[in-house]
Amino acid sequence: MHIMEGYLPPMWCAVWWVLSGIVIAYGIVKLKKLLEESPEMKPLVAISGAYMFILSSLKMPSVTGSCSHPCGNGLGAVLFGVPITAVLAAIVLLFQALFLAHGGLTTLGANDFSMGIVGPAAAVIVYRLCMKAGLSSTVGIFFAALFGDWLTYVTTAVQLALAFPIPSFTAAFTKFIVIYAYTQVPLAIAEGILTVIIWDYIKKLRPDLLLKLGVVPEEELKPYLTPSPAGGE
Amino acid sequence: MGFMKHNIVDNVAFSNKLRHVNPKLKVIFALSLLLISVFSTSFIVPLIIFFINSILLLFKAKVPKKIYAVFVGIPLGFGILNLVIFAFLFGTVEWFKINVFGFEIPVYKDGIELGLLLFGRMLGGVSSMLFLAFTTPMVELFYIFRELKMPDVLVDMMMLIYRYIFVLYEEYEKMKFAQESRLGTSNLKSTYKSLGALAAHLFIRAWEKGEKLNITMMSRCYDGKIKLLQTIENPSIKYILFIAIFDIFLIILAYLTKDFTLTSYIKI
Repeated sequence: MHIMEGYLPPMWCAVWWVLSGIVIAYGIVKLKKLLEESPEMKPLVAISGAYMFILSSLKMPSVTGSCSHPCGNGLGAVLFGVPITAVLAAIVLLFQALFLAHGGLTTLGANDFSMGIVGPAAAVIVYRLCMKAGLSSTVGIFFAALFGDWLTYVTTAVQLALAFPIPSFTAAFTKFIVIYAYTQVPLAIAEGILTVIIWDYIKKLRPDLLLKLGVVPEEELKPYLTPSPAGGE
Repeated sequence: MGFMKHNIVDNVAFSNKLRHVNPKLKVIFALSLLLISVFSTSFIVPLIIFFINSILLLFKAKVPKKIYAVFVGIPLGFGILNLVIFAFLFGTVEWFKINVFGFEIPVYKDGIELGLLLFGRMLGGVSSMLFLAFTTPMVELFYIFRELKMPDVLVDMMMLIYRYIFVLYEEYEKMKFAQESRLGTSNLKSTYKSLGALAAHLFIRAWEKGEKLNITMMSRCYDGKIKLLQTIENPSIKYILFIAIFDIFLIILAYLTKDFTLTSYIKI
């Protein structure tokens, strides 16, 4: 992930910029609406973005023009949905290009498409499937983070194979995905576990926000919503 | 850890010698070189752009050489590795074969050419971004975004995330030190356990700070838009013309070298 500045041909830079731009524009509208209705959400939205920045800055080279790293996009996706996560990811990618020489401006469209759109979409779908299956939200968030991570990398491999279909798309995709798999499969599992730990803390500390966002069933949050009899707020 | 680097860039951006050059001028310069580099079809002009950026950063902006070397090492390392991968795996025109223990491994001519092009583009592109990153504080870019009429909610979120990145970093430093003081990294198992606890507490602590910040801002009549009082004046037209002429020169040079291939000059 984080295709490096200058790695993609200009035509593909433009294509991914347009595709991502559409979702980001929609995400800005949704973000504005969310913050107007619930101003108290602003710190959590911002911290989810900063969390994405931190996690996706821990990178390990995987020989081609991009590298492997956790993404941190599953959490934001489950809390706020795909369009808002696309906006957060775009901001994070901009900062990483400017702070760390990680990713780039011309490749921001491609990187946002994989880390900010496809990854979060996979995370949301998997999470909702887990909730429909009656699993707890903790299990759901683990698989959301896991699949969000994996689909981010599959998308990046597709993007690189489309840009360099040598000698064919299938052959190129196979090479890229194999290169990523060595580091990315265990990394996604570790990220899933990390996200579970954070998720449990969020449930304990601010169950009201989760209830308001409608992402966790009320019965699961009930133990945390009961105020402490010893002078709770 | 990799993300410590953002502190370095941020510090250099405030203390370099090109700090007070008009930020709009620097943005125009960096972005124009970036685009020329990405649109070039041979590696010559991107390499020229890389050298120009390096000279400006090292000798005009006085960015510490060690810091610059670390950041340029990223595209250099990736570029070289990528060149090797493309030479062996991404090609259709065979150039020669390497004999290894009886196996003949083909080296592709077009793979090498593409690898060289990407190598040059990455150096040119990343050095252009580094020029902007090392010479221009992020806060000045926020002013420019505001002037470009980016949505308020987007610029505000950028500023908040920017702030929270440093909050997370500060908390990380404190917690890491506290953990190590208690031998939290004395073996592999406790290292992983400490890392998980560190990340979880880091998130929660930063979130709490964010909540307090939000309350503080609202008690000061914050209504959802962070107002900026300063404006950045437009750069002198003279400098714009200089950059335009320079860009045109590079574009012409890129056109003249568009079909250059290094492998056609090397005989096997």
